[in-house]
Amino acid sequence: MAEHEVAVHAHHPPTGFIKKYIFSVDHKVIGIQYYFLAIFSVIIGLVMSVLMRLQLGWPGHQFGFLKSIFPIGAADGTISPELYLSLVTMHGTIMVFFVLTTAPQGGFGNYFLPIQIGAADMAFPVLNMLSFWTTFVALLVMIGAIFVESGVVGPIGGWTGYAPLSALGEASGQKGQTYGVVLWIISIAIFCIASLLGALNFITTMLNMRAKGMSLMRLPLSCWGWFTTAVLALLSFPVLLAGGVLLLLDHLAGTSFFIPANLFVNDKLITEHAGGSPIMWQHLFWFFGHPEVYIAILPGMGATSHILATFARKPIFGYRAMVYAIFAIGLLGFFVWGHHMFISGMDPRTGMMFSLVTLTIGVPSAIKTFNWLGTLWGARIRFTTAMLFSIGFVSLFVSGGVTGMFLGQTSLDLQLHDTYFVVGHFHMIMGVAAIFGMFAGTYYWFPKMFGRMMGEGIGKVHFWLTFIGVNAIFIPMHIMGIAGAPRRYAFHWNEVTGEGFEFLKGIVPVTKFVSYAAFFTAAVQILFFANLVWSMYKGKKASVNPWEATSLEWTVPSPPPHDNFGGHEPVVHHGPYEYSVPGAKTDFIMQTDPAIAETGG
Amino acid sequence: MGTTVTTVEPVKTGSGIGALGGNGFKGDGGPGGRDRDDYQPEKYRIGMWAGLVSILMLFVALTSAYIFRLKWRSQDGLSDWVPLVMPRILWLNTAVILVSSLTIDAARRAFKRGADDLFRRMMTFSTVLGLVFLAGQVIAFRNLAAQGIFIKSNPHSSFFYLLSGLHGLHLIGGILGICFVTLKGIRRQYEERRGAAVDVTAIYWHFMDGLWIYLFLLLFFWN
Repeated sequence: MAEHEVAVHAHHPPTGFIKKYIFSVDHKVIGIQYYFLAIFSVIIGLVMSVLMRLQLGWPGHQFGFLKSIFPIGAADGTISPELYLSLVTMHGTIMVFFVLTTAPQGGFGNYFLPIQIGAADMAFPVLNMLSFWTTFVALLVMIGAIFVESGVVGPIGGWTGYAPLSALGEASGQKGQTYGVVLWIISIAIFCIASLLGALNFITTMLNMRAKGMSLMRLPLSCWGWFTTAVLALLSFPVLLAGGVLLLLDHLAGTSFFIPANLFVNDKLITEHAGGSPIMWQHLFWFFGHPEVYIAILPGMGATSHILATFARKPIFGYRAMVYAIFAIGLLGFFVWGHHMFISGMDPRTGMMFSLVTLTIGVPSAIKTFNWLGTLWGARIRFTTAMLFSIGFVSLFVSGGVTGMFLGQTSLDLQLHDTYFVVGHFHMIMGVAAIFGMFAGTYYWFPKMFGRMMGEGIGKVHFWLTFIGVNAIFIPMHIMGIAGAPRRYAFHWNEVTGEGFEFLKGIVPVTKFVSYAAFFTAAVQILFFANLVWSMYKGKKASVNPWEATSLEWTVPSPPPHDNFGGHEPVVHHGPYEYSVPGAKTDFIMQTDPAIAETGG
Repeated sequence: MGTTVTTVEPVKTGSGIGALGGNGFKGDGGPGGRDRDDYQPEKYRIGMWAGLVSILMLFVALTSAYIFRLKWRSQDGLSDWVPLVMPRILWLNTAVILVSSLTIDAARRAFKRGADDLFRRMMTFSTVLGLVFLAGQVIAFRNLAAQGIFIKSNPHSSFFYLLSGLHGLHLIGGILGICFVTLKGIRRQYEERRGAAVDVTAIYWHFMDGLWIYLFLLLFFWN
């Protein structure tokens, strides 16, 4: 590998198409590759969610087009329960791994971390390329899982792949649980390795490649978001990998790590396996799964902080507190996995401890929220689209976080755990807030990445419609959950056949409303994709620093040259958020501006 | 870790070269100030340590699964854990991998002194010891298989095959690393970047050595 590094560090721009755009070692190209991989995946995930909402809103109704898409899974024009569960599984898996984990970190992080710290590239460019292509292979295998079994689009166990169902294979008697689940596990194992390679690269880059003068406390908060995320990935993905290996052995090699004795499934007693513990899978999975939530949202927090300060034209409120709060959230995130398992029969004292630590995360989260509000307080805000999405992020983070306080308490969680309350909660905070972080990042950094401005007018329409839409989808879900609507069911009350839960007849209109809101919100995203594609070719040319921001990416041309800084290394004199400094000529001081009077960070 | 900090190669070019915990971590400014093409050995060390942390977490997770499974009782209060009788050859394997750590360290020191012949000999020796260790592990596997003990026989054998197998895979990576830096070392004279490559390979190898001893103790002496 060292041999390749030499060539890379010389930084001659590649000439051939393949080296330049396909197997590129340039962090900017790789960042864009990650970004488009996520866009591709988000479209699959979005289509799946629309199909689910169609089923949930109108169970029993026959839709001709479903019959032609799923001749077996929807043979009579309605989605079968197995197909529905496989849609749930693949929607969750694809969205969590290939969208929420790749775009904020692999996409924006890859593109902007090196530039923001003043480096020519990542520490290990070849490894960076391998990370992306390994992720790509993982996606291909995951897509393979969609097609290997008839009547379903993958395994049916949810993105958590709970054992023993996921470990049993054919014996489970369920569609999707043989080859589908094998490919699903393999894909996730490959994804783990890709993420580990990426995390290692991010950590090394930020510790070692900073430009002269770029002290840790002068780093933009986005860099801290990416760095903490990389640390979390480095520590949590190996645990998922370990769980995945054990699960695969149970599945293929006949071991019994997760399969208990005397298991009676599919009308027969399982005799080939004995003595394992399904709870062990839950521990391994959630030890990864909880930090994964922060892997999805911390880059969004970093980007939001960065963007809020830019358009509030004020220094970020409490920079150090923001950095320490990110770390505190990341650290505490490793001690709360049990709150996903309150209903697993856990010792109440253990539950109490997990509950206490979980509620403690409210403290650094509140520090961040109040610092964001403090940044906005009394500011002359420039309401760009990126700014709107950042403010939207704060809003969704609060409404999603507050419900976390409910679920973090064992007594409430016992009631709410398997209901739509949880679905509403995690979509608000992990899904939509993180997506808003990505939208904010896209509108903010697009000019730097593609050299053109995105349409601001259409962007604002996109923001308002999306913001209203997501609230209309997910706030009613909390109410449905409190009413007792269980999640993961293909329907609650089937008006056509009169099957289902009598007591949930009353929420049928709410369910339909949520479905309409979901279709609306999904349709609105066409505005975004159209804006993205149109702006790439027809957008207004972007200047070097269209937002009058201070960090290093705004000192280089849009898009930046191959080695970012044109062969020289920037020297940093200022903190990242020196806006409206009294006595300064402009209302922003670039990080690279010569220090007239050191104003500090 | 201590050894890496104290074994920084003599600095040939540029400035701000430090080992892990050196300039790369300084709070008052980035390392900066070097030519763009300048080589930064500390990035290899940071990268290697980060990689080792992730490997460590993999085995920490498997250890917790091991303990969980060992202590797990089904509803009738019974455990299906049948302790393995340790294949005797594992003692020999452990000795072999311990010696290989000494030889690779000798190689590393020889490389630093510029004693190319000794470096090559010691690296070759370490590779051979690594292969002997792997062969020994395979003999242990076959030994168990001959008694009818396979990966699915009982939880202890499952963990034995799994943990030693995963360790073996990582060790193969180490052997490839040794081959790589040794062949490079033959073609070129001493160079700072080669020094870092040799260093991180040695660190990795020591880690694999320690990891095996840990697994050996966990599998057969911990209850």
